Amino acid sequence: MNTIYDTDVLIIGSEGAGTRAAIAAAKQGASVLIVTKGRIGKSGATLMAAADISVDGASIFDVLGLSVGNSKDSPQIFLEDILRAGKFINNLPLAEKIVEAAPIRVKEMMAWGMKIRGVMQCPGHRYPRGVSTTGREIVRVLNKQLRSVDLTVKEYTFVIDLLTTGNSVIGAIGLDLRTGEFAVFRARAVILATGGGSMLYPIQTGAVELTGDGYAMALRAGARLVDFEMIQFMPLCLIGPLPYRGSYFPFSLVAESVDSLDGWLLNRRGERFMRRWDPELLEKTTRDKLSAAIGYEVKHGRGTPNGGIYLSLAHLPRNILDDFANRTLKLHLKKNWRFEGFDFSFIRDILSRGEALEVGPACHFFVGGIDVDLDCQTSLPGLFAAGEVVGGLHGANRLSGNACMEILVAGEMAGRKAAEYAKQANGSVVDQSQIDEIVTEAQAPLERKGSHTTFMVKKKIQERAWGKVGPIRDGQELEGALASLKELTHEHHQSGLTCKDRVYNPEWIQVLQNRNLLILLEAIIQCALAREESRGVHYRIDWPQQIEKWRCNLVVELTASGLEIYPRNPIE
Amino acid sequence: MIRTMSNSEINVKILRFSREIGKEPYYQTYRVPLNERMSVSNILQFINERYDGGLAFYQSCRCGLCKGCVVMVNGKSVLSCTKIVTGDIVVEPRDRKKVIKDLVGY
Repeated sequence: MNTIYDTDVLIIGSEGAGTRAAIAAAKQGASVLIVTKGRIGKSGATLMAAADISVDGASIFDVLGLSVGNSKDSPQIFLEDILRAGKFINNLPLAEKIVEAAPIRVKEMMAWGMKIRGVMQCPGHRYPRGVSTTGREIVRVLNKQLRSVDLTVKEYTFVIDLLTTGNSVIGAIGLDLRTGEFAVFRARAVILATGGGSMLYPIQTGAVELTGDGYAMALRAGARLVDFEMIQFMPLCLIGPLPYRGSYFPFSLVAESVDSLDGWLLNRRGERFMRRWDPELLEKTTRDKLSAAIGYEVKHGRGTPNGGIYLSLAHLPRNILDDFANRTLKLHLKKNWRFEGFDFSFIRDILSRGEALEVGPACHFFVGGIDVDLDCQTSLPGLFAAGEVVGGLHGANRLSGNACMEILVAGEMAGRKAAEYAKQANGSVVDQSQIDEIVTEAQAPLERKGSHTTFMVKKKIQERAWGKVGPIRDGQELEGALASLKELTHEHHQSGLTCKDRVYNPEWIQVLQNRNLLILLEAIIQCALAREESRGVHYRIDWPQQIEKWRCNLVVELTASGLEIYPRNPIE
Repeated sequence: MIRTMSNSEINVKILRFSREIGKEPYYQTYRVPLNERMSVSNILQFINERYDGGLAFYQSCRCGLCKGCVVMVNGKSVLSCTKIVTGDIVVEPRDRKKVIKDLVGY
């Protein structure tokens, strides 16, 4: 018999968007239960944010009361920048609503004690809008606030699927990793705040929990995704040594702001290949162009031995490096070249010797995601979503600072609206056969004697994603990748567990995550194949231009016959 | 990129425990090749993927921010993601009274 939990609002995901939603829902008087597969405040993407929170310049002055604001800016101009970056396929009404509420949400965070370090201007923003803080600080403030409201948090619980009646969502079923037993959550409303899916790729800037569980669950329950081909890569990340893989430290040296160092990107022939991609801005061009260019060089055999390209500062006098670290980088860099938790003095040594670093793109952000209305409700009654898991705000590309803005604003909206929905929703009876079916499928790998391990399958999925739907895509290769998915899915179904423990079994967790990653991979391949153009972060070698007839969203649905992709005019 | 270490193998001795099995905690030793720079997390993941799919440990950010991966290495409390391994290690959970499984604790 499974343990049953009853709540008004169930929130899946415990970080930025999830905690902000929880606070809002609890303040409406709803009973709130947060479940997370990791630990609250010790998992997820928010913690790792750089972090700037976007607010239009006028409101920085008027609402936040900071003298660094700029009254020439306005919510309207900010919105124009969002649309320009998103290549005009953004969900405009949603973007309007989020931009409008951003100043209030940030002011509230400051009133709750969030320390800020200033306001930065990041690429793509015409005015300084990045209210600068840290991911840790956002998490600290939200968690402090969380303790002042009445709610329950259940850690180490991997939610596997949503429970539905008709097309309404009425709860979820999860695996309690501490006991190995299944838990049934009966809820009047459910909020997905599960973040993105960057673990689909072998190199990522994000946390290990980001396996796209929210997208997969939403699709299986019948909800829609939009623009799932839009995956943002952080271009200049370390690809090795192992402990530092995915660190964007090199990016912060040479590309983060207008004040960054002048770094040269070289291919194996020593050619400064950005001359071919953006003769004017070169390495200072946008992240999407850098990622595509690097991907292109590597694909054409002009990369480094480890599959990256060279980042060189050899043309600079050596003392510039330390002077730069002492001044410009001091916001990020602690003494002795410490960055985040790492001692990067070895990078200083490499660069000082005049040698190059090997860098490459790492998966950074899922720009597309679940389709929601202006109340953050999905196409399924009772199912809400907030944060990276949602698509629409960013269109085809995301500006710096807009993810942190989104978690605060949409998180609050989703929490409030879900609580309102819960008040008028009737408690529904959960269908036991639905539970039995999910449990049976989830337990099947435990019984199987597989021909390969779940980790081998994960590696294959990641390699496929990197090769076929990484920073550059090609029509023919996408077709091949789609055809060979069957085989990969078959291997997943044949994979077994060498360890049969129920309690915190990494192999069992992995096989349940592979199930989700495979759906993500297929959806991205299908969308990337359908969109015969290049737009925003989506770059097709065979269709390198942006084409007006493709100024549309691609919608993804899971039907009885599989994934269905169809175009839709952007919401204006 | 950096290949300063010569090909070598180290002993990684890990304190194992599972509530489910009800056995007393016990040490298990693995031989792990150390041919490149690796953190304690990298070592644990290597063991997990190659030798022992059941070995439980926690990781999230992998860059020293989330502080979720604290373990005892050679008797000292460290973050497993940022602690670089240079020789034999003994890895134990942070608090032996609060273990769910192996190195994962409440």
